[in-house]
Amino acid sequence: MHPRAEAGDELAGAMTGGGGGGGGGRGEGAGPDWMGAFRASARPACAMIEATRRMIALMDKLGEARRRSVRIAETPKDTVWQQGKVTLSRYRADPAVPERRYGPLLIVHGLVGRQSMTDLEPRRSLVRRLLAAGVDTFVLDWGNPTRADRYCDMTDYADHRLGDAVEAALEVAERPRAALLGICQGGVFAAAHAALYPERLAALALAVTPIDCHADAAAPVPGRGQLNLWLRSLPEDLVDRLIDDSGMVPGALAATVFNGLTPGRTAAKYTADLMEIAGDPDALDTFLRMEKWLSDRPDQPGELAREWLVGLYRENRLATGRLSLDGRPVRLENISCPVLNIYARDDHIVPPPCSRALKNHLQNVAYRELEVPTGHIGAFVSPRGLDLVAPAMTALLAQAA
Amino acid sequence: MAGDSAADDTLFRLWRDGARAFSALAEGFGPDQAEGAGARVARGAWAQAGATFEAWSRFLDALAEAHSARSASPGASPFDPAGWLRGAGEGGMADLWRWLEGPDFADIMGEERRLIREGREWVRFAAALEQFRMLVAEGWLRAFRRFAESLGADDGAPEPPGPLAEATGSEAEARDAAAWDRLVAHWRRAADAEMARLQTSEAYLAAQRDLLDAGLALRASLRARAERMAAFLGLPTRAELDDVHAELHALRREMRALKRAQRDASAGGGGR
Repeated sequence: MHPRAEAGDELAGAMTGGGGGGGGGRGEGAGPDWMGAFRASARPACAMIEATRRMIALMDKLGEARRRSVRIAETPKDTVWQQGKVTLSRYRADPAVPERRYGPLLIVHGLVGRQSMTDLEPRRSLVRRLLAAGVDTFVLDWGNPTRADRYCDMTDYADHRLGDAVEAALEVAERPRAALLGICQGGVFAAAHAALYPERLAALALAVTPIDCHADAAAPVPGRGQLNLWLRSLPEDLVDRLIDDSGMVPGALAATVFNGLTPGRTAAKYTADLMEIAGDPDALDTFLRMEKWLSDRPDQPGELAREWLVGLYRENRLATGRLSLDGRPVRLENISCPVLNIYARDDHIVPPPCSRALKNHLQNVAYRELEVPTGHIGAFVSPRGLDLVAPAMTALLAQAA
Repeated sequence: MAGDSAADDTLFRLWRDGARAFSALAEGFGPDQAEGAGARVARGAWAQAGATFEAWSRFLDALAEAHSARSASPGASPFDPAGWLRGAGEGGMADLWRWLEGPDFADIMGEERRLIREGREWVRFAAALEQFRMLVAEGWLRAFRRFAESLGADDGAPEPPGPLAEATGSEAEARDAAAWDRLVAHWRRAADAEMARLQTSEAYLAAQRDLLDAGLALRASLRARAERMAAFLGLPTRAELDDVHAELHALRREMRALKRAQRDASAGGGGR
């Protein structure tokens, strides 16, 4: 049957109340207790009053939030190196732990989201936890690429700029080797750099990083990996045309795509979810900080996006050894330092098999996997994610010291 | 062909019936009949109008059927909207599109043809957008249905009450608030699951491809127009700026390589 016809039948069934698979009887009293409680206590007037009360509380809180600016990434740091729009900053040591026992550690984000994610707020800051453990922590900020950067590719980011930043960090920290923590796209940059320059790194941590972009195809999990499927299903020239057309991949487009991956969550976010946290100042503050981070999504330079979307997602070049930077092939088996691979159990953007595929490429290195029971971002902004990630990072750096 | 000939005969007969009915309708409003005022005239005119409508309807139905039979592929018939935007089939719009897609002449009709093509790209984009929106809307409706069905059958574990539940005062209100929060969470899960099913379906992937393809084609047409206008007015174009940025990028690469080579030479080799 044609998919549209099938959909039409289902709709017809829905309109007439007929069955159509799934569901089942809806007898009186069936279902969990909370649903019974909800139905039994369905007092429309009270519900309306409660909803209004929440709405008013929310408006009050949002009004307060407007008056005081929403601040993120407030951990003190100093810019130690700059090249064009790219800056490297070194966080000031925690006053309680002045000795920089481990590191230097460079946190390398991609250009899909800004680097402020790892320092969203004091209570949810990976950076602060690392500083508290005595880690000499640096963060790389790629800046905001414009159309003038459209010809910058992965060689510029993962090889030249990251390499120059590593050199700068080593000079500032007066150490012979550095450690990298690469997150998502930044993880691919870090892994490629570690493969090209194994002698420069003491340790490598990757987080929610797509190494094998086809690893989810064998056993797809509903609700995860749509991005991979979408890109694989597009005709070969369509992504090229998209990049040629705009010169960049706009951050707003990326945001729309990510929102579209979880439409229910997106629809509830500014309605029910916001109402739910209206009476909780801490939760509302976190929500607004997260919004600030999400709204600051940079554009991807065209040639970088081409290598990312076509080279990696469509053609899987990193996992198949066909990715080259500056003419040099990236061989993951050349990585020689201890590796920590962090993946999120409920990651709907980078399915865990795509990250875990890294272990198939490594040879004779200390390798550890860490599963975090969160989604893609939750690994770095949720307390339960940070409770796992921060100690694991410290242990990796201690091992490399 | 004999079949075509018979169909044409039928069409002609039906067209003739329609023409006769129309002619009779026109007579009904002639000066002689107009003298008889009142309900009799109105009834007669109404009946003749009805007969005319029925006769022409029969003709149009038969015409559409005949064309569909001759144009077996979807969209090939001029009565199938799917064919209006592509050069498949024969006659009507298909010929026009084929002409538009054909080679341009050097000196005549160039701008007109480009304008028509842009219009066509816009229509194609609008159609693809509506098709995509319709699919997504169907997905939402299915999500609502699944959610409604699952209310009586859900076995998901309840979540702890939200922070407002304790703040509402009475126990009943707290229970209501907690139940409401769980209901929303339940809806969110149900919607995401149903939409994930939709997003991995062939129909969705095809609609997404069509939308992206049509959107890019439209933007390419508009961009080409903007470039022509800028060139005409002597303004810098996007393509020219891109050329400058490409040159600059290549120069930066060369300069970096030279600096590295110089540094390595002075350091005695090695390094990056």
